Amino acid sequence: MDVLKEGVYKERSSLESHETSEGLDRGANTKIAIVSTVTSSDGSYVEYEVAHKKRSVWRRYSDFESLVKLMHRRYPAAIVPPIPGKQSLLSYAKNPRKAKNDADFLGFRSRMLELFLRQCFLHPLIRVDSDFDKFINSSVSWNVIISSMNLPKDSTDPLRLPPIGTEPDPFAHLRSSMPLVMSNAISPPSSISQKQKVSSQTARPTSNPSTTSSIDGPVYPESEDEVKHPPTSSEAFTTHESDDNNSSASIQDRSSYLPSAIDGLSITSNPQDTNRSETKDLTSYTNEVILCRKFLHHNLSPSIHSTLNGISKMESSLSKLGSAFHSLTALNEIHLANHLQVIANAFEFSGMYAKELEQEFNSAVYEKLIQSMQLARSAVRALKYKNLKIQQRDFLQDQLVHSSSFNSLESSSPSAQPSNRLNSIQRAMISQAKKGYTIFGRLQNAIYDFVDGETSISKETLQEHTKTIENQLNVANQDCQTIDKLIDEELEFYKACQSTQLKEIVNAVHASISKWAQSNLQRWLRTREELEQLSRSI
Amino acid sequence: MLSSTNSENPAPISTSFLECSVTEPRKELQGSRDAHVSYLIITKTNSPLFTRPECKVRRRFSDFVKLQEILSRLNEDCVVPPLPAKHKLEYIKGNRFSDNFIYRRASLLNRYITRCAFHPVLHRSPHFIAFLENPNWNNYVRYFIQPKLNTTSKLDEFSDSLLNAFSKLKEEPTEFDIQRDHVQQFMLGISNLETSIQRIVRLEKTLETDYEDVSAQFDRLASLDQTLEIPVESIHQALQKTGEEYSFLIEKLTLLLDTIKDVQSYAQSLKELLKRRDQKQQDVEALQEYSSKLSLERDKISSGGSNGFSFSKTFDDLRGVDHNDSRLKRLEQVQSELQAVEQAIQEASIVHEAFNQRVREESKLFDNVRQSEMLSAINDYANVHVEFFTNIRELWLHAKQ
Repeated sequence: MDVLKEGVYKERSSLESHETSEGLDRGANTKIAIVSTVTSSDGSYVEYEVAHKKRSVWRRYSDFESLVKLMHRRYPAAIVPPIPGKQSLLSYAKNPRKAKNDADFLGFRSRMLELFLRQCFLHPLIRVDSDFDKFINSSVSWNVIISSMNLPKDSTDPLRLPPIGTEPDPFAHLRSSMPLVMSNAISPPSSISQKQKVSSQTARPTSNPSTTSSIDGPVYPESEDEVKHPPTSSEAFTTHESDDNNSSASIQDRSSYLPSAIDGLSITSNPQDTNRSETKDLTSYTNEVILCRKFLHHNLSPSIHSTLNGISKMESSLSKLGSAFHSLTALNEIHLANHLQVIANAFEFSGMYAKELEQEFNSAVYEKLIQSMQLARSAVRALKYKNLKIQQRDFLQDQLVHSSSFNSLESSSPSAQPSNRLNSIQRAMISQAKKGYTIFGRLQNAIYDFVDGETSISKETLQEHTKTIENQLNVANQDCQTIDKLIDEELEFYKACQSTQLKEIVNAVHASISKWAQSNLQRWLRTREELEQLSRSI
Repeated sequence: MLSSTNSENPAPISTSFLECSVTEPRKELQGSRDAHVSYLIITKTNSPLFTRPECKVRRRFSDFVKLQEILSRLNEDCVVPPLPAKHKLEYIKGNRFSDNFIYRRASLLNRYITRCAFHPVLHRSPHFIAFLENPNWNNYVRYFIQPKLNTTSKLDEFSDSLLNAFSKLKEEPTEFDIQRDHVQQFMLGISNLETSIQRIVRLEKTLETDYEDVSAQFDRLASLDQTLEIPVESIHQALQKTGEEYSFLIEKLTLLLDTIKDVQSYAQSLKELLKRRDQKQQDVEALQEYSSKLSLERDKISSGGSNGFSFSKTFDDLRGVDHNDSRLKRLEQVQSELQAVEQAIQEASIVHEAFNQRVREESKLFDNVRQSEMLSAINDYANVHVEFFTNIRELWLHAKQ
């Protein structure tokens, strides 16, 4: 390890976790903290000391980043807790500074990274992950650990990854050929569960300034998450504006294998097997999570932000008022001058307390709120993934249906086609089916058509094609089952995290404002006493 | 309330007292073109100058303005307390009947009347007394006072011809110069203070809306996410009430701000008084210069006329006028003029000295008033803030349970 103590920042961030999570006892009593930060020997990066069970390791920010990436790859279905983002371009432009030099920023990062670690400990999958364990406990440099794993290339789409990467994957060979579905695919009639777009009934932001508006005092660190509007999550679902937010989600109708003439817009609820009700909960919960996130993003956090702004402006104005009173002392007689002095002091102290309030509010409330938002976003992503998996499976089902229908068509009239060629109609249907609804599918077909001409689609290929589809469908089914098993735990985890966090936020608001009121009250009572004493002594 | 005794000025404590208060604003003649607000003035006194020990009259703001004009014109050597500004903006906006505005104006008028009552010269002014007790103020003004306003004093005649508004005083820094500087600096400091307070009040207004907003958001949070049990009910209430407390604070601070503004305009009046005094001094000095010029001329004449060639001599020769005669005549003229001027100077000096004395008194008065008002303002500030923070703390302690 090449860490040296040149320029040591000692920062004690908040220490122990007092969470009581429902049913996740193993993580509840673990104490993990980031106790200090240290600049490296050549001053080019900062390392954070992770203290756990009386041992500590030093990790830098990029280590955390790569850990998160790893978790995403390994458990694409999981809700991975978020880490604080890098400095967004905007806030960097406003206040160019190096992250490693700014004590405030380092404090913010330490707090958020600690929160991240604590949440990881609650997560059912992550906390038992061996690499996470290594991250926490082993003094080996993270780069070494990473390079010793055989990771496939980073650009793999999560739809082609198994939902739980640590278990041996029986379908590994089939993974790379799984079809990719786009989230806003408009499906053929038979069965696609319909998600509802969160309509504009969520209140649009009112007069609150956006989070990137100019700020006077300290710059509240913003990652790029908050700057963007939530594009991906809301477009993840097909829109049909005739429905309002609260109507029940549709359930896919699994029992039909034949292409039935069901209108794609119809909503059927068929709570026969538990899987379906899970899906229903999934969708409605997704909506809730999205709503929550949007609300936090657009409403709660900007209004808290502007309150913070107000408080910080108050601080400077109060101290200016104090000095205005002070400057009057020189011009007045002793008696009045003393009074003026006393009240000047009072106002200056008031200003100090306002600054304290602002700092506490920021670190205990605002930052946590941002983290909640990010966690919600992560949850949305995971839920989206699940939905995509379901869509993938449905797509495969459709394909199977189409191919089996072709097969039956084929076999029913062999004499009409002496050759192995299919007639143009069938070919069109197949290519329609094969095209899928993906760019890759279309590209594939285009290339085939170009290369092989009309001989590209033959009966054998068709049968192989069916076989492949069946295998893939198998995979998809398995995946969905695994995911379903996971869902409950994940949702528990998410709920636990969010409610603890929000409770902490509420308590923090309480505590900081009470403290502010208390100290101000004491100061002003004392001021009043002093003034009375002065008047009496004349 | 200003009392008639103060420790700085060991003046004999007067046995008479004069108490006035301005209360009960009432809207009169609403709907007509002459809609206005009238204020009730209650006077209690045992001074023999008044006809009755207790009087109650109703006056409107323009009556006050008229009184102000009268007092300042006829009592040039006094610092007449300033009236609250006419607030033209509110007139245009049509807000002059709002309760808040009326209340503020009533308290400012109250302070004005009290100050006048406290003033050693003004409160004996017959016009002031008439204002307080005469039920027919308008007639009084028209028939008795208006003509007087149109006459000018003898001193003014002289000084009008000699006035040079741009000449400077003699160089010695008199006590009044020091005082003027002092007042100037004080005004600067006060206006600085005033802007700071105004800024704080503005910020507090934004904070109030912010708190209410946050409280509303927390409320929505609770209703939004039923799966998460968050104890937002208490916080929602507490935040909202915090916002309300801020609005009370703002009201009270605005009143205090009015006090500060008042002191500021009082200082301004004192400054104007000092300027007037300076002008008078200039007049006197100009007179003195004239007199010295005249005596020079007289000396010149009596010493035998000019040596050498002079136009007047040749002219006289041409006209056939006797030199000596004309010289004697001229001497007489100059003598008499000199005498008149000397007399005027004497009178002027007496008046001027009296004026100076009054100005000194006014300055002392101003100091007293300034001190006591600022002291009470400071005390009020402390009280207001104590109350504010007590309430907030109570709120949040209560919310915790």
